[in-house]
Amino acid sequence: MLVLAGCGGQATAGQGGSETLRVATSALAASVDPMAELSASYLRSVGAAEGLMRTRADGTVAPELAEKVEATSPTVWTATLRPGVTFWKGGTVDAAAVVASMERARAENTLAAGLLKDVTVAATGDRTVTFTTKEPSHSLPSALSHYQLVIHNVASAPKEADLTGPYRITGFESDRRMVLERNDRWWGGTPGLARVEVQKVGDPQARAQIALSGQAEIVQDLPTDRAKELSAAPGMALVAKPAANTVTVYLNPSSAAAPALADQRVRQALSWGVDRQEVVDLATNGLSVPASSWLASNPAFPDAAKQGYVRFDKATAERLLDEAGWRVGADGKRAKAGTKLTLRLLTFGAEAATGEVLQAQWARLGIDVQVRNVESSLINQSIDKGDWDAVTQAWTTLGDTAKLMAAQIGPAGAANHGKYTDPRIAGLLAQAAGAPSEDQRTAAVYDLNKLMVELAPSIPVHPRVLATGVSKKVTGFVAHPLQYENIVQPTMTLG
Amino acid sequence: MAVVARGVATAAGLLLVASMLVFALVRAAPGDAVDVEFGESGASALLSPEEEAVARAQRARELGLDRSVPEQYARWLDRVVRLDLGTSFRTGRPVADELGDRVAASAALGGAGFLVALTVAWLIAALSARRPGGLLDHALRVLSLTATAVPTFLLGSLGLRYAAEWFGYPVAGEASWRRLWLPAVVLGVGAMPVVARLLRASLITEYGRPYALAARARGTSTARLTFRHVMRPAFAPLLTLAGLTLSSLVAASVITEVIFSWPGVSEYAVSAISAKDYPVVQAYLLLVVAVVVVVNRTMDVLQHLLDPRVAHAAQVA
Repeated sequence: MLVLAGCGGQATAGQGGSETLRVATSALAASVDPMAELSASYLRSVGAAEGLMRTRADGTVAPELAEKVEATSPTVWTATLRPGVTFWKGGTVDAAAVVASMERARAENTLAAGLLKDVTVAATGDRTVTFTTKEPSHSLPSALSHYQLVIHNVASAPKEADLTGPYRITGFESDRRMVLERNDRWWGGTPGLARVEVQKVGDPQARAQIALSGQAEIVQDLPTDRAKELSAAPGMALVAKPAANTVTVYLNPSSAAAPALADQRVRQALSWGVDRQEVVDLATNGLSVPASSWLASNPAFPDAAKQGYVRFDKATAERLLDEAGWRVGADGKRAKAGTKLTLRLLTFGAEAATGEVLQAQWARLGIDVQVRNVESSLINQSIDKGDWDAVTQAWTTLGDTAKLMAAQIGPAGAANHGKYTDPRIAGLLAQAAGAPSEDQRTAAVYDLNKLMVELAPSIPVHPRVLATGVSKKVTGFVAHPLQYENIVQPTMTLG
Repeated sequence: MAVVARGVATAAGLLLVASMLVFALVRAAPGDAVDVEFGESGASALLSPEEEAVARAQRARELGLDRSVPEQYARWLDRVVRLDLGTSFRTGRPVADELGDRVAASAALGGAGFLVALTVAWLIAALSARRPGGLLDHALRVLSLTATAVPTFLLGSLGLRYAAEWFGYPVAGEASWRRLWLPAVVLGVGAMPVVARLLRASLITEYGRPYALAARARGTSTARLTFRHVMRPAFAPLLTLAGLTLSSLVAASVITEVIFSWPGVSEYAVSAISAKDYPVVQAYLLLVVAVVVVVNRTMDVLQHLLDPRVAHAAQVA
């Protein structure tokens, strides 16, 4: 029997102070209803929402509102709720409230419905909730730690927010500003701050200015191009944490415009030809780290950083391209039967810088790359139409790892844009999801990661960067690889 | 009265045509709100393609995106003529309420920027027109050209940087007088050069007219000549440009509002555009068109009042 229990996953808060913490963020909830698109992630990030479980900074999951979550049979998980937990307005967080919250989430939010797919939720006692899965499931605790399954009072939704968490919302302007005050009913003790004011500041340079002028104690999502200036600023620290996602270049083996990508050797050559450290240095000002394999950004699988393209190997890249028949001509460009080796790379947002460095690095191999930074919807549209060669995306790597890997390389995977197949995939995915021992499941995940390196459906480059400015007056800030766990924590105080 | 009635009819026609264009343009952009939602949430990783297709279709139905574009337009227009701008896809709140919360901030910023532009433009034009081709005229021309050449985002970012550092200017927060001056200066400086050049030319023309030369011959001082005789006719040709400038400053100060986190309609629209929040984007664009139409109609009326020749020409026509 597997039991996940502990002292809460969060350190218990102590003496509450009277200070106000000012936070500047790049985005803010559009609604306080946690079932509205992405709202729960923002609420969670500011200490205004909790789940039965939470993900710790090392990638493992721990109980939060649940006292413990245990597998009582291969298809049944039983969560025992903490005693005395109440919503902000005083209602008890009992089993019935948890079931109602889960069912509303399932009905109103597609992501929650995906997390609770084939899961029956039932109250089997005042403080006991059972989760029955259709097939044996080892990943339910991970699903319960997802922000989309935060527990909310269904009786108040959607008009009023009534959740749990160390801070409760007392002021809200959609997509602009949120004010929170200490929740004196919080189960974990007295939260460290009296008040939190969160302000959305859309422009990254303005956020940098806020950090430099000390107008907020925590400034999220700082521009990496000002890393040097921000690092040197007195009174604050620039905390850079690689996020649990991997900026990856997905490759289309069926592209008519770039037929070379159908050849596995060419795809591998592109990956060997990436000097990831240089990309990190130039595109993220050294704030990220190289990702040698797709899973490398997941802190729960530390050995993934030792798999795959662990070094820049131009010689191997050149050899593979030569073997594939793409040879360097007099003009320094590679070609095969009169066709030049070219590809179009679509990037999105901050990945534009990554795309430009890759363009320069692949040019050194004799490959012409056109880079266009576009809206994400245009990338999706190009993929749907099949009119694409290479695109950057950064899917999360932390969560239900078997499902996330199935999305990358499974036959119907949402991120398997190139429709790659291999006879080994199905067996390994089944092992990763359902093998009886954790060691076996972990081994299968690593094998899948290795297989992705071999098939090279995509090129892992580096995790995105969570660059946060933290005032030196703040104590208790914990950098977390998940953005929604990365701002306000209950033990945080202002010294 | 006839002028006003004609103006209202023309404005209504313009708004109708604009509404069609706005609707068509917004829908022509790749992707829709459902794509954005699924892309952002990561739900695709947890659903089979079939389940995702069902979920997408359901969401599209909820948002009314499953209907044909002409049907969507007809329903939207039907609501708009009843002053119902619809409900935001993201927030679930009425768009009219959300825009209403922000219109005052945009009007204050645009109005203040316009005042800055007019004041500085008037100063520069008046000084330049006193001695055309002189050293001061050349220096002010260089200044105007420089102001034209510096992009708003650069001026805004630099202004923000030094104002925050030197004066403790609040980089973000509510719309307040304390925060208004800097974005107003940035907006005003950006809009000033065109107004200044046109006003300078207009002033020079008026200074050369017989009535101004006669006034000078009678010993009227330059200040008196300018304020009492020349300024009014010199401003008349400027009204159309001033109208366009004012409407663009009020309704479409996108870059300035974003850089200064100013809680106006343009900043609101930027978030809506990236989320493909159609009701908001459509309402915003319609608001921009309405502001342009209303301000320009108002300027036409003002022109009639300021310059009797225009009224006479209209009567003759």
